[in-house]
Amino acid sequence: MKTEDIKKLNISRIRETPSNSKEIPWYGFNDYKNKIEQTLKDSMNSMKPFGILIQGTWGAGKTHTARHYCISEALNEGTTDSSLYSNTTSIYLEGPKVSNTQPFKEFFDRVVMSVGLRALRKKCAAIKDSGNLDNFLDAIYELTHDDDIVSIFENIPDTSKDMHVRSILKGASTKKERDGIGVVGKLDRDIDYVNILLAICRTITWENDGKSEQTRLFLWMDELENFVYLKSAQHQNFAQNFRQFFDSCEHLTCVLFFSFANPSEFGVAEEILSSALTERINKKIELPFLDELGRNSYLTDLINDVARHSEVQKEGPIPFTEDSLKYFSSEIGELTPRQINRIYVRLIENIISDSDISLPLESIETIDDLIEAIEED
Amino acid sequence: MDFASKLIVDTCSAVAFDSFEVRGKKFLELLSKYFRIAATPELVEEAKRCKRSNKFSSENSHASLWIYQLSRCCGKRKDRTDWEGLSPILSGTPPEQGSLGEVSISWFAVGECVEDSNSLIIVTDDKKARNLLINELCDMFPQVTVLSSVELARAIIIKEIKSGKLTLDQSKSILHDLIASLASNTSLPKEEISFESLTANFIQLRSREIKKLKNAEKVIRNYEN
Repeated sequence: MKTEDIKKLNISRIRETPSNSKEIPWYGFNDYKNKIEQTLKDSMNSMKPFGILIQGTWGAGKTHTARHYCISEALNEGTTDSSLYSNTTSIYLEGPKVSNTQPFKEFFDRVVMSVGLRALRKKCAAIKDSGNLDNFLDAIYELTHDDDIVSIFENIPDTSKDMHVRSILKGASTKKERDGIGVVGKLDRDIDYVNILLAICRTITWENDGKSEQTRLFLWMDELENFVYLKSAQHQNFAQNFRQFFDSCEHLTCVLFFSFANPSEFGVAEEILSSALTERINKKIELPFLDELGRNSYLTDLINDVARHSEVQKEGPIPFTEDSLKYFSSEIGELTPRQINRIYVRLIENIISDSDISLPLESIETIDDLIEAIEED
Repeated sequence: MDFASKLIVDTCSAVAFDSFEVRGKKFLELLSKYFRIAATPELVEEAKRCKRSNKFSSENSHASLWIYQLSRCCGKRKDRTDWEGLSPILSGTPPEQGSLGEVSISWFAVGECVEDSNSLIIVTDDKKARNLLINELCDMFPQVTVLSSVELARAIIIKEIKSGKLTLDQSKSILHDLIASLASNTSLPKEEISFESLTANFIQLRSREIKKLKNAEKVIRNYEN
């Protein structure tokens, strides 16, 4: 292939870490993808809270998986019965921060922020407009047994009460703000956070036509390996509250992601997350290591995707020949998709920029040399 | 007192121990029950500096008592912080101002070995200091041993298991908390922690340490039978 054509390749789609862009392309890993989608469908049919644990090494594609399903809503595309799965909401949540001493409050804040007051208002207003508000508020009360929380959700459609609602949801309201919407308690205890989360989840999954089982909330909880930073008391606090929330939320699927450094550590997730959380896991999925076939499929998909999104007309694996692609896959050794992305992008960048980014190509004879040069660069 | 050795704790490890408790007791307090604590004036100054800059934990800090304890432990030995005399064992560039604690520890260790023939345990999590100076020192003077804070904690936990004061589950959770404390101690400059990449290494460290603890507990049980 000509250098000119290579220069036209759109490598911005290939990243070392998944971005927040609207489209997260998927390469290779077909079995893994099928397994996830089947498990998600199973969770939808379960009519109960459902936990999925996805484990793998760093760079194997966990965050990518989460973002892919959150953003592209690929789940809906891949289902066989679209009417059953037509209404799902996905929320992506990062893991607990290292220095946070209140991990459950942090989890609560992240869910509230991700859902957003605007979305809640829209949903509550639709419920009100459909004449179902009383049924809805009864359902919230049944779930939380808390009049204050019912008051919040009753007031959400009223935009003039925005500030009051916002402060209460932050767990930092004044008496005046609480009085403004008829809330008595401060709602800043863990049990309040659990109840508010339950109410939010119920709102999101509420269906005015009475078929609420058709709607499901997916929480994609990334970086749970950060639990290693939580002390036992914090961990216990999180697990206890999370369990209470999870167990009462029948339209919820939680996908937990856990990274580790090498394959021998499969199983460490259960130890770090402890039985309090792992007992809620219905299905475990391991991110596969790329063998030669997997690498070939990953690279082929990646290269074709780049070509499809570039202004080049050439068919086939660009800029590699079929033979060089085979060689690349067979010689590249055990690498994660993140490392493969890095190598590919680095190669193309090197060609594009001619000499600005310099790999000592003249001294590179094997793929190992290439990887070494890239790692050093 | 259970262990015969003297113990000298580098300030970065003392900071990590500050929020760490075993059976509701501050670990720093527990240390003096098991070891003869040693200190140098430079270590006392370093601990004071860390206290002033709020590097010790903010709640229930044991820093003041620890500093008092250290001041009382400063023995007759002259405080030396010159690195030139240690140059035969220095591998790399001479320490900067911040590493004077390790230099004074090294001189203290030399004094203990050549004058009193005492055995000494140095506790540090500062990888740089270990590579630069302390590992060489231990190679040269077999009476000197270096432990990380997690290893020291394990030694004490094992004693507590043996005496029936801790169960294995409690011990695992204590060890986990120390590792979490080391991991989340943002007041420590990252390069001072002897773990390269944080999360991955903390997970590995945790697994390794808990495995060792489990094995030790089994051996203790066999020993008692």
